[in-house]
Amino acid sequence: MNDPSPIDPRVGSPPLLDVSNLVKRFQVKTPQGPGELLAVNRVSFEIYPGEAIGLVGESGCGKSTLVRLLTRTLSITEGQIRFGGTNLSEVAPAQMPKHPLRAKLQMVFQDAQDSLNPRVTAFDAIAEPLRLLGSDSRESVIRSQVEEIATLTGLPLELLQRFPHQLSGGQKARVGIARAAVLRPLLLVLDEPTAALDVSVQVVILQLLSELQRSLGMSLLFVSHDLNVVRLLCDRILVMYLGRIVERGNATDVFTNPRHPYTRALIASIPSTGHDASQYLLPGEAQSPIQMIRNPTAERCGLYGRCPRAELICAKQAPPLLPVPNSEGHHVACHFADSFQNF
Amino acid sequence: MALLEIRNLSLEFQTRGGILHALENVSFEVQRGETIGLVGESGSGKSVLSYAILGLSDGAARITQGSARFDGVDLLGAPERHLADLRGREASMIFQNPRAALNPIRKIGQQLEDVLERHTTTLRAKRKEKAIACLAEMKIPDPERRYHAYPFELSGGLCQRVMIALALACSPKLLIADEPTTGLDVTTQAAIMALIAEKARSTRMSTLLITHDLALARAYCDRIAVMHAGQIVEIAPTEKLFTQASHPYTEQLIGATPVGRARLSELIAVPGSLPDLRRSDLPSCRFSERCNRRRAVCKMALPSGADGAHEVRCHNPLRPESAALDALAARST
Repeated sequence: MNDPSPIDPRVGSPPLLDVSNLVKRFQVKTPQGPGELLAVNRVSFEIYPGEAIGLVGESGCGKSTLVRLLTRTLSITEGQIRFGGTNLSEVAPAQMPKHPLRAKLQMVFQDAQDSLNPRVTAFDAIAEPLRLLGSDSRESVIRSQVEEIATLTGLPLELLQRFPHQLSGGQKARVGIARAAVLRPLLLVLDEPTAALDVSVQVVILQLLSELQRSLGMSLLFVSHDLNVVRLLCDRILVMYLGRIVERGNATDVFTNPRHPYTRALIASIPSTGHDASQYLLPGEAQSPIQMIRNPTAERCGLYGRCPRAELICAKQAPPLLPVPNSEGHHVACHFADSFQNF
Repeated sequence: MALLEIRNLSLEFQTRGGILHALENVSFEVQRGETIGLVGESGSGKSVLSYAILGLSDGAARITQGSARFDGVDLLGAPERHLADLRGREASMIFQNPRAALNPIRKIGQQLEDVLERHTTTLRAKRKEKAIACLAEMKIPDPERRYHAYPFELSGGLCQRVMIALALACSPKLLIADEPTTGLDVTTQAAIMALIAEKARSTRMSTLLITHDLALARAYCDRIAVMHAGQIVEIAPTEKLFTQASHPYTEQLIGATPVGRARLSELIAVPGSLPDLRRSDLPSCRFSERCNRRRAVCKMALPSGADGAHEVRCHNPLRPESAALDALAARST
């Protein structure tokens, strides 16, 4: 979708991030007895150096849990995360803040307003990661690094002494990005970075991210519920539903030729695209991710009950993520993917 | 006669930082059965305008001129008692954040019954049935059970459906929907908008849709009014606005909207930001300081140019023959 990233993932360099069979379960109590919330269910994907990946799905589908597992702020139930050759899953969440790889894996949070400390100036907010994880703690070095990243993120230097309430929404978003990028991470994880922004500001931030990705050679994991925005920035897209990846592929394939009924609904719902949303909309709400110990339903397709097809096999067996014939890395998890053509 | 008629409305707030000129000379009409979009950046005064219409303005607000008539009633002169009868029955509002707008310690069924009790003659014994019917109309699954639910037990999308059920319980003539789908998933957004559109169609309800998302307004509105810094700068039938935008701000907003664009580089950011509305030297065209088509004449009072249904308040509007506009028209087809 974008111009080719600096390093083509298909040239054969090893993945920067390699996630395999990642599972996260939370133990919960329900009125019917003990249960298990299966937030992330056997998720596998990889991110290559310099690549921008979009992760889309509705609220509650497990996007944020997945992000918290990747940044190791949550313990992993099962599976493996390899980052730059190191097995991150062996690092305990408590050790992660001081781990040398922490500097290489940075995060931009959803609401710049809420994620900035109101009593800390923009300068100190950007300098904090340098002071915690940087290699050189001399104040003059920190100052020059902060000013350099501020310039790169389009933040006028005179704004650096301001507090968050003295900055506009777009400027706060820039501070959030600057402090994540100041350590020159290899992977930047962005959790809905533009959700709270106006359309006009959103454009600026998206273009800034795309530019940073190129100039710093970073990989991006862009988490959002808005496929329309994701497709503009990302080379590849992962679609998540109820803890599972249900479709993945390059942005153009997923956007123009979606094969999973959920992805189709997601795209048709974008206003003014010419699709008749009512034709693709799924009735009702997503199933509960809570599994009753006595009566587990994890083995059925997550979309069962909302899907127009919903046949016997869908209730019995969750469809595996399989390649779409004659495609370039397009995968879909649906027993009847063949019947969902002609979008 | 239009259902809602706003004429030359100006409103200001007394703040510690001085007088904030929130609305300046706002005029527009909402016809019966019409859906009209009010779009603009945050801070442009969209919500202030809708609160002013319903007489819900903040205590610091002062209306300095203008009139607002709703179905023959002078809204600005009417006593509060009269307005309270009107709100929720004749004209109701869907607020931006449904979780914050619902009462957290009252079951949603009771909240619906409160509205019915206040505004209708529905007998007490019939109210529960009616409340459940309202929930069912909003396609809330299992309405009998949800009648007993508290807001925290419902997802964001369901809370928004409850809000809409509350707003539409008395079949109002006018619905003001203030960013009804912000914060909701796209799939939920499509479902919610379909519900509102269906109700508007079946009861000839007028809808004022407030949003910053031009694509959303395009999909659901008959006409769109573009607002900037407290001024309505352009009003046009929806398709005309997209193919023949005349105000430079409208053109820039359209250029920043991602729908239909193949590449990120095709999007053009709107330069600059809203002026500080507390300034005493606000220019007569509040967009002029961000505008690349500014001329000396822009210092003069704003013209109210109207070509039939297409109104533009600009001294130097874009013309259909201009290259930029042709490109725009080509892109949108």
